[in-house]
Amino acid sequence: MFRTPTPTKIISIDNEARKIKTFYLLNKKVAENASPGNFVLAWVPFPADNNIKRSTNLEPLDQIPISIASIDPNKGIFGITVKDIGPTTSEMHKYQKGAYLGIIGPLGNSFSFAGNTCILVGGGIGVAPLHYLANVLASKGKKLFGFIGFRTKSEMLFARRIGELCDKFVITTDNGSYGIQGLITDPFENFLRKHKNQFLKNRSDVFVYCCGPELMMKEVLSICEGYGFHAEFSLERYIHCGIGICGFCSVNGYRVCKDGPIFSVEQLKNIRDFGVFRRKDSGKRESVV
Amino acid sequence: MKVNDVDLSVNLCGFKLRNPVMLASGFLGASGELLKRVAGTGVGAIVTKSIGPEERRGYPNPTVIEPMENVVLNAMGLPNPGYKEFSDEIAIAKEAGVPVIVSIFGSTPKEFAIVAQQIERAGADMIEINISCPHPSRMSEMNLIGQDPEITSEVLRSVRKVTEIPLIVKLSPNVTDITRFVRVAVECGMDAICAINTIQALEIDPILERPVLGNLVGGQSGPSIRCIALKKVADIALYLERMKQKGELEKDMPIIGVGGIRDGQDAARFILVGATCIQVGSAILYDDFGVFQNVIKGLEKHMKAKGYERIDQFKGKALDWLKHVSNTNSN
Repeated sequence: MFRTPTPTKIISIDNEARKIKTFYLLNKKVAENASPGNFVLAWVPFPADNNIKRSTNLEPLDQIPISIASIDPNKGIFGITVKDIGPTTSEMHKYQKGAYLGIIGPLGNSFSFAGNTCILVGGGIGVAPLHYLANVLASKGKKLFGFIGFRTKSEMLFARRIGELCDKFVITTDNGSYGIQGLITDPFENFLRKHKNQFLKNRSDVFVYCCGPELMMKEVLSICEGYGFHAEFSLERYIHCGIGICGFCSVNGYRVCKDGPIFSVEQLKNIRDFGVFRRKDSGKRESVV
Repeated sequence: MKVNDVDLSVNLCGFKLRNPVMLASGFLGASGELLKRVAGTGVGAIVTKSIGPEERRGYPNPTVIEPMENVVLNAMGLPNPGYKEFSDEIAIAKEAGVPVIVSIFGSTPKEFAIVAQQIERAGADMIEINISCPHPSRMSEMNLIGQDPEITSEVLRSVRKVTEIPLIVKLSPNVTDITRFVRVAVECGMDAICAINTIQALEIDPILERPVLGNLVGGQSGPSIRCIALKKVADIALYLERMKQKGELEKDMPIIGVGGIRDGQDAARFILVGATCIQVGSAILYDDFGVFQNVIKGLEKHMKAKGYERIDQFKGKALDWLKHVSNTNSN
């Protein structure tokens, strides 16, 4: 199969949370070849009302990278969870069951599944790929601990489904509308501190998997470095080609689309831009904050 | 039998390159650190993404697609951070220790000159002038600067006037007679010619019933264009030879061949029709960073097998078959 958008039918749509929907798409190639951490490029080929003339007046619709949130290889279906944050995602949210998106993928590398004690740390929409990962890790019989944070209760997603797979599961919200009020990094660090002796006995068996806002991930990185635990992080950058040849998603010589999006603690030590700079669609560097 | 030592080095506009293999413009070239990583694969020189006077977003995605085997289509729309911002990337790329060629574009001769001057100050070793950008007076995607000999001439002269470093012009294949532009390049004091840029192309999705590229139309590259590129490079080489014979060209005018190169034998093919250097771009899609060593090692192996010690021993050799044909444009 070639790396060009494949028209992919929307089989069903779930409303996950406020302005967040999961689109279930029929695409055997993705469903059979994907691994947790992989992403697809999802192209919104025209305005939802199919009005081509309107499309020229709109902010141009784009093709955007979205992590895979779930798969059902038997049915050839995979899910992407999309938050309405701009013109492309807003138009995608207007799409109905039966409509087509253009899909290229699966793309990028994946989480390693290493360790038998797996700690998932996620924030916001970044919880979606951890949902896929949690299901695969659980099916491999790994022991799971989950820490996921949201701004508010209304933005919570996959909480029940991830929670069911974890031995210990903590939810935080910034405003305290659900779970513990505050940032997820605090209960995560408390947990590590509490189980430090037990975990350090078999350090290579403990793995932290993280996806969320970059500043949150930076904090998780520094906590993991402090304890010397292995960890993998899913990075997000503006992506043009998605297939490793244009180089616009570069972070300090790594391509997020091809060398990533999953990076280890060791790699992130060399990625000075992590949590500091990212590139815009023009290639110009700008602050992550 | 003693195996001969192969010297892959070539001279390009006064720069000694360790081998004739270069990164083509547009690939991995927006970041100094990625350019360094390419240089680390052993290439002779690196060429940046095309840089213009101001920050530019480019076209909406899809910007790069692979619609079928050996075909790559792109319509990036010249995204770049602008020359001021890009100076830092040049400085980083230069740490690699191989010549850094900065590709530039503009929409008017004046803009080209401004960018060229600033890029030279930023430390570029050479400049590659990308004239495959929209026409200043006729703002249509189908009318490129590089399709109009007069405007091309104005652009090249304006850049030449303000720069000392070697200038390479990258020619568009989307013209009736590429040799007209070779003459313009010589007359405007260019130091080398690079050919070819992408070939205008379109892909339609039959289910979505629309063009696939965000910009609707784009340019084709990849192994599928290799024979077209070879023909254009041969035409350029033969024309330069004729100009030399007539006394219209005194200095050497190296050609940089580009289009569909994926291995050492492909590189040899371009050298055989007169190329001094070759560039590799789209094949990164298939072989990733390994493509550069594939081409370099493959070329070395090919030369060993053929008993060559230096590039110039076979450069242009296949042109002997073509130079006595009065019209190479028949099919």
